[in-house]
Amino acid sequence: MPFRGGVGAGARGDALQPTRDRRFRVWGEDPIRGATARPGAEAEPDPDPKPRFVPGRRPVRIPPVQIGALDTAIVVAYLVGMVAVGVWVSRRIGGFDDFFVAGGRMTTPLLVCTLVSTYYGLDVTFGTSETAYLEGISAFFAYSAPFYVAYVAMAVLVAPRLHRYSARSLPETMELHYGRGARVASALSSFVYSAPILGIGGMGLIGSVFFGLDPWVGAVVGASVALIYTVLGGLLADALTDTIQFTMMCVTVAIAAVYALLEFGTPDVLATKLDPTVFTPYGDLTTSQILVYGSVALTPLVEPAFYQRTFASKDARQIVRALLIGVVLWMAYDWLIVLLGIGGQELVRRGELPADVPSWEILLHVVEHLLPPGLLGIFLAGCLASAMSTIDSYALIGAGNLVYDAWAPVVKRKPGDATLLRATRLMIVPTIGFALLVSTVFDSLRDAWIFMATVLLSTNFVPMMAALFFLERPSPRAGTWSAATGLVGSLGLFLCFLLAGRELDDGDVVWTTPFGGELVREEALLFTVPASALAFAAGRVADRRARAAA
Amino acid sequence: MTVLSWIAVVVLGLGSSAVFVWFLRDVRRIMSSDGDDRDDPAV
Repeated sequence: MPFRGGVGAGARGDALQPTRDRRFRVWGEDPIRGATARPGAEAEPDPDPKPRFVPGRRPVRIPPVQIGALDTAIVVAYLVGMVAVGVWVSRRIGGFDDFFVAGGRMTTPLLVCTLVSTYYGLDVTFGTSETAYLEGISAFFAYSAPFYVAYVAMAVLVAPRLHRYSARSLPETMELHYGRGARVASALSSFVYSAPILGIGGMGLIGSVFFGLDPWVGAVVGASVALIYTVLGGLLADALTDTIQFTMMCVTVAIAAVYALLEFGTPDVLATKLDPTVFTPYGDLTTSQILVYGSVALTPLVEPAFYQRTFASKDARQIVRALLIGVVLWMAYDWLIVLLGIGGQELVRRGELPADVPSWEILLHVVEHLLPPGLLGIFLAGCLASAMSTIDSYALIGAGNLVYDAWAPVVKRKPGDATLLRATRLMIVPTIGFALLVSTVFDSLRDAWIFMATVLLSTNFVPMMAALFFLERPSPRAGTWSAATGLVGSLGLFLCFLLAGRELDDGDVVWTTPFGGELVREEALLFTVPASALAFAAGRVADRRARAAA
Repeated sequence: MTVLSWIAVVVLGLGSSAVFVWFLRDVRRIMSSDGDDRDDPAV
């Protein structure tokens, strides 16, 4: 779930260039402060009382794209089909292990499908296309490329070691080295990360743009379908639906890209028509921005969905192969989405799209321009697939974090398999409810992603990498102190940003610390991860002393 | 970049379809497996 949107360079002044607004609201307008105008923009009359789910600092009113009966039928058939898979698989769920890690029987093709579709949701699809629309191919080289290094490291270095553990989740792996306290801290951070905020927000966008629905209605309908089949069939239903979703999202993007190459011309042709910076690999990003986003790209190394699927794989070879195949597919997917995003610039240049079209919606407008009826419906179903495959997987992980990792280890009487299964199924509902609730706290999907990634990395990265590569014996204080420092530090910092942060014109939020310096929210992890490392070192010293004293 | 784009189209379109066909050949085994042949836990 790596978010790839709207960071980096400032707005371009050229009237033919797309207008840049770096923040994409989760629900179109600020739910707390109400709609706000872009600095310098005139207030516009609002003919539509319902705010659309749009990016930016003011809701932009663009009529819903009209889609035909054939396209609608394809989308409805897709949704019904997903529920049918859940019902079918539910008859094969015998216990918690079947439900949560598919009985450890997942093989390479199933793992490829579920990894690719789960990790790439609408946040990546829309975020990457938006960044490409605004900044060009730096969306690929600066934002996406660092992740490929992390995926390969996950495949080659982490997954084979991880598969040796007798565990079902990231927090449980932490407990094996550091004890129960580290597991609970890790579970809470994983729950925060796994709340499917971004996927739910993306569903609202599709419902709003194509069906004219209130964003909440679109989000609730899509999330409900994902919820039904995940509650029924667990990881196996999730993975089986992921195979269909994976194929749909990949094939439809490939088809749309062919249309784009034929309609807009190849990148070499486009380079002669558009601003030269569009085809500059790192655009106008600063070194510190590249560093921050390179750091965020470490997320896959502690990604709860990767861990769960590693434990669900039949053997280590299956997950390694799946990840390496996945990297190739992710690269192709990213590049073509970048191409479609740049196509948006060409449409603006030709005057076929207004320059103030919401950048977050650009992909939808480009494909609506390119694809004929029927293919458009399949593409929409592919977009829904992309969102639902993320929502279902992370809702399942979030529920598992609450039940299996946070509740089960601390209760006196160990819950049985049937209780675990029932409780996890039950907790999927509040997990999705929590995601809906949290989505109202953040002004934008980018803010939500930064928060989630910072909490996950700060809590788990140092202790987990130390456990996998350095520790020869358990070190409870090191892991617990490190995880707790990362969790409390990251949550505390974000609370400071929320309560006392100051928003800059470019959308960044800064907090003036009691020591006088200013801290930018995006850079929080550059402080919390080292703090977690320091706590780990202190815990190691304490553990050594305790062992020596004993 | 043009060549890269066409390669990406082929990889994504045909590659994902090939993985799906591979999955269809594998699915019967997955659904009937009892999942008891995982690596022995070493930790």
